[in-house]
Amino acid sequence: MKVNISKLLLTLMLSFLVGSVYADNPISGVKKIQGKVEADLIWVEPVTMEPTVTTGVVAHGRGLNRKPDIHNELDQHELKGTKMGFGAGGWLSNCQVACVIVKGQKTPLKDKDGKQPWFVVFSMMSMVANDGPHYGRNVALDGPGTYYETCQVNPPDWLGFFRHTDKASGVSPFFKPYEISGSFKFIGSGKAGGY
Amino acid sequence: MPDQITLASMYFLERLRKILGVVSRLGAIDFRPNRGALKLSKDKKYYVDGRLCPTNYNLPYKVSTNNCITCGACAHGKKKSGLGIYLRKPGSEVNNILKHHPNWYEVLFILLSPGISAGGFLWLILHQYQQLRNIIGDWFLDRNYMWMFKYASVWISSQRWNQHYNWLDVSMITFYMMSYAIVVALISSILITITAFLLRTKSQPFKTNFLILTYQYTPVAILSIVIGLCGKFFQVMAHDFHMPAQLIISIKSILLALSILWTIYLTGRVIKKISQKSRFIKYIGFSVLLINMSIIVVMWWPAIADHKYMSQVEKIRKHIVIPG
Repeated sequence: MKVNISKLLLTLMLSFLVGSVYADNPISGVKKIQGKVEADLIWVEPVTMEPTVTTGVVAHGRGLNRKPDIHNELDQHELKGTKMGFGAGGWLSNCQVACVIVKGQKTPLKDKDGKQPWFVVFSMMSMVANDGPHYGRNVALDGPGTYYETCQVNPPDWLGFFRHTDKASGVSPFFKPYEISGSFKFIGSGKAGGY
Repeated sequence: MPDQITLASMYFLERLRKILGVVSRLGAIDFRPNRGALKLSKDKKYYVDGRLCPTNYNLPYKVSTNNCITCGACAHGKKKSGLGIYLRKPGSEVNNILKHHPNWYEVLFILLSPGISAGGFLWLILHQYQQLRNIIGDWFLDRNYMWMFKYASVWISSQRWNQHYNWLDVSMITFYMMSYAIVVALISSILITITAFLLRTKSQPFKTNFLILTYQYTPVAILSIVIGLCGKFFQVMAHDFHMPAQLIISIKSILLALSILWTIYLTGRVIKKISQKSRFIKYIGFSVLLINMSIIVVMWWPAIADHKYMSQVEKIRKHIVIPG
């Protein structure tokens, strides 16, 4: 409580200094993976997408196909100094991204009392926004609460994305499959237009 | 039907009258008695019901414009009442406010309006609002007070397919705007108090000085409301008419600069008139008010310049930062 009040006061004081716009909401924080990849899980307010057949909301449990609560994204770029061929800061295409979001605990396994937590499993799609390409999906959550997310990311060659290997034009091997996880408190998406 | 529309618009104007009234104190147009206002005798009142003026001015005694909606009925209606339309130096009424029925509610309005208008903008722009919302929201979530996260009523909040304001949003936005209003009003009051105290004389005591000096803030107070109300206008101009962002920033900057300069000019004139104080004290008093103006500019600047916060993710995506 004490910490919250001091944070609140600090935030109020900061509010009167020059600051700026709405940001995305962090889930994992920026991670460096295998010295090759920068990755970050975030969420923003739900967005519309084309083609519309892919905008289906992923939901689990009661009220399937309901309206989305968040737009979940995986940001993933090549680190400076690596030679995977996407360029420093370049977006890594053709990855498989499989995620699970669980409410209240880290895994969807039953707890000590045999109670199954709410969870949703889904894959992310490749897409582009005005700030560049990323992987993402609209997701319906189970109301306000603390959520834990884990995503498994497989490299481009797993989806048949080839790379040159000869000395003259070859690039280094892609990253190995990795897992990225984090948590977030969902208290409502607030104002739309989160970027 | 047209009568109903007229009545409705008159009713609407009536509600807005107090705001329009403060604006009209600055205006170059003045409706006043052709032969000068009569001195009010004890059995008369400045306002009477059911006469020619829709805002109830007792016209022969009219000395102020703060209730006037400049409808012109007194000067150009079938029944005239000895009033004419005159041009005056813009801002002259607030410069000589003691002769034009000042009131403390207007003082309060002038002090509160820059903060509340800026707050209405800044919660959309400043990332700190989001941080504050998260802290408060997390506090309620940790204690399982879930009613805070229920969708708020449609008459008080926006409910769209991807935007659902809950009671947390409604209370946080209100709190944020009110905080801005109160804090900015307090800062202005303290700085005006310092100047008013420094420049107090026998004929013009502290309280009178405070009242006069606050009235000189009218241009910046009104401009704050105008920029606040123009938010949607500029949004439409940008999205639907492709008005360049730079042009929008320039227009807003010029408006803000003009209002600040006008306020400084009016304040300077008032301070110059005070005869019993040394030039040095006057300069100090004036400088304190300049600090206040600077604070208002700094407060407004993120909204004027549309300063956008960029998260690390966004910077990386836009290749502003190369991860390494």
